[in-house]
Amino acid sequence: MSYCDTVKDLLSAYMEDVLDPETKSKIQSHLEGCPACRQTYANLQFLTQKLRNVSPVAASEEFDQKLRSKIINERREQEPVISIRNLSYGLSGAVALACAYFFFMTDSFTPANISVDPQPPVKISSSPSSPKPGAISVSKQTSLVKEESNKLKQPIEIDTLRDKSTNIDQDKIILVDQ
Amino acid sequence: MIKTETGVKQGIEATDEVLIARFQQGDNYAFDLLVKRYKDPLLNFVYRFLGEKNDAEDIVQETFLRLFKNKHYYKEIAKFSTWIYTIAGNLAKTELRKRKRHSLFSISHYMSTEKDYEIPDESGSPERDANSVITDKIIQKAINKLSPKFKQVIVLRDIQGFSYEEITGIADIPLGTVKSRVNRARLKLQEDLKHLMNDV
Repeated sequence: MSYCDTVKDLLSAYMEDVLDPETKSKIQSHLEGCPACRQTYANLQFLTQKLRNVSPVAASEEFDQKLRSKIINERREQEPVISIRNLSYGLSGAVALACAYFFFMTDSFTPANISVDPQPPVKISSSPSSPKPGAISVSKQTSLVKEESNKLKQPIEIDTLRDKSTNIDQDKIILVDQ
Repeated sequence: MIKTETGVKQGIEATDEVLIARFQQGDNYAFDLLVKRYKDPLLNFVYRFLGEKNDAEDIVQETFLRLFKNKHYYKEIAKFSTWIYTIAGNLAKTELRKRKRHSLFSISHYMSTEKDYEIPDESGSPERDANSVITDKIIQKAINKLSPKFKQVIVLRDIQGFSYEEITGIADIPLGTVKSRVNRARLKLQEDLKHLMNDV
């Protein structure tokens, strides 16, 4: 590697004045005595000045509109799909589970030691059998069924909430100049 | 000067980091401001990288789309500009690789035809003369010949004006490598543009 090559490696640093004084002085002396390196240095100075002044390009007028469309499409793709069919399946399942729960809690499967309702059981005229001691009252059962039903509905509500929380108000994405 | 809604009232310019924080908290207006602030600088960076404006616009749009989708990935350990330029630079490099794979890198890149380059829009600077336009085209042609690793650093340093330290963050390479690549890229360019310099 010739000394000229070594100098060339340092020309940018020399040009930007980031060399230590000793190295800077050596480069300076070399440039004074070497026309080829001096020319290269002059070219580098010219080049960096030209690069700083190249014409800037500007985004097209459609840029914002295109970006807005892409964002809207992106949001649509991310939205969870809650179809009527999915909803009906969910509700059917909830009703079936509620019925099963109601059946077991009123039949002989009810553990005898459950004493949820301290008040005397209410007689149900439509029921052929008299209520057993310790059985859960109809009102309580109804509230339990509601509770269970709410539990079953919960995932759907969470989805809806999540949807709301991430649903971007597209009117707010103005993307200036539109 | 770009200001946030509150900032406009207070006459304070919000920093990039303030804007991205607000956007992360759900303020989409902050996103608008970031787009407005960065679309042209990013476009110039990617355009100089790819040498084609339409492709550059697509890349910049994809960059903003990724910002929109992945806003929570930004952590304030790095400057926002470093982060967004890294995304754009990576996408531009991927685009270059894709072009190479699909043999879209035509022989015309090595020939002196004007079809290779899109002429920059000069409507905003009527005072520019024809010589400057030609010079720009010749410079872009020389940049196109550089390999991506040299192209990236020279565009960031000499056209975009980033510091060596900032380029280190964007290109994810050591400081010494950045300095060395910038110097080598300049030497390659000056070698290629000797005739231009002798003419002027």
